[in-house]
Amino acid sequence: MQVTLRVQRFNPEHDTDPHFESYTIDADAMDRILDCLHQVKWYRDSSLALRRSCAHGICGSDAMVINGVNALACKVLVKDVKQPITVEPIRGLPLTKDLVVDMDPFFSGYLAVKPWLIADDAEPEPERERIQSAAERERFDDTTKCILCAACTTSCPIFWSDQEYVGPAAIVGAHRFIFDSRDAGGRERIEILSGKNGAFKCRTAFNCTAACPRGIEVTKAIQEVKQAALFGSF
Amino acid sequence: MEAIAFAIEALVFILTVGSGVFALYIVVDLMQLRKANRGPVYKGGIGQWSWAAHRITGVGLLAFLFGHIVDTFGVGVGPELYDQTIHLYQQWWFKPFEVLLVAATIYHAINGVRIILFDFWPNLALKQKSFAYAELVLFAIAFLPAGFFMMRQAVEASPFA
Repeated sequence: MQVTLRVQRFNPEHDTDPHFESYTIDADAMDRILDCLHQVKWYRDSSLALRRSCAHGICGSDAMVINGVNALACKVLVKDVKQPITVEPIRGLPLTKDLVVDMDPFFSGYLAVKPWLIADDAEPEPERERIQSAAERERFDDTTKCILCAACTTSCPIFWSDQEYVGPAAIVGAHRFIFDSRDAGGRERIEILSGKNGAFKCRTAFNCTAACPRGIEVTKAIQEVKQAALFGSF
Repeated sequence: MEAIAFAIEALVFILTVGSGVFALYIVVDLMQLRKANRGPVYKGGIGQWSWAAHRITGVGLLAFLFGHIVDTFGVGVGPELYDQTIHLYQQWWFKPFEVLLVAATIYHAINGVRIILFDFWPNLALKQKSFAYAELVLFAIAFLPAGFFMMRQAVEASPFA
């Protein structure tokens, strides 16, 4: 079948503003949007810039705005979207070229919440692995699924207006450790997330939850972090 | 006296309607992406639109509140000034704006309660769409009768009646 793609193009070397270009290509209904973009890049215009790595929904490189909503190009099929298919870069981050954005503000928000295990210094180093019950593991299971694709953060209206906000992905990353029974850095992270660029900037618009390609209940996780900050319940 | 009353009401009117329209512009602009790479409005779900409506009604109501402090202040000068100022609210052409004010207040109140529920019971976030639609039903039940009677009054008082 014939598929028409409208792709946002921007070359910083000679464009002042981004513009859309249309490409009509041959594709199968079961092809992914990523396959269509490959068609354009490999056979029509090799100058098209996009990020992708594994192409199977694991690496989280190819998040983009497809027909107005954030998704991974490798997880959306042609048959599931209306034509012409509009593809834009994710929003709220500085545009580098075509569909590529500068992810630095996104990752600095993520790093701000210390997304690694912080051991209790007072405890002696364990001789074997830290034991955790199934129920304790279940507590943060949902937020372990994050692949850092930025689909949630760049769908957030608050993040669009203020990139100082750590964003949903960072709070999900913090949630994963705050509610982990083996971690001792909860208080530290809660303190960071209680600040003016933390969890309370969330206005529960739920765009992040809808955008997550991994089906994480992002807003629920953020609400749990807010509660932990208010009531110390973690 | 009449001129002062008119000036006060003009201020309230411009402040309230102006701020509402300004907030609408900013929110729509944001959803289209401000600054360089402007695109179409992001197609978020009902949560995004509730957020936008909450912002717009919030700014409008806050502006009205400031204006309302100014016109109530007229009581201090004397009942005549206050009566003349309030006279504006009785004009038939002003009624639609009053209806908008009622709509904004009811919406902002119900939506605020919905947001508070999510804050206290994070698990309710899993059912956010049902809550958003239930809110619209509640809004319709609370607003439509009030809106109907206010508009009927306005139409009866208008030259078109």
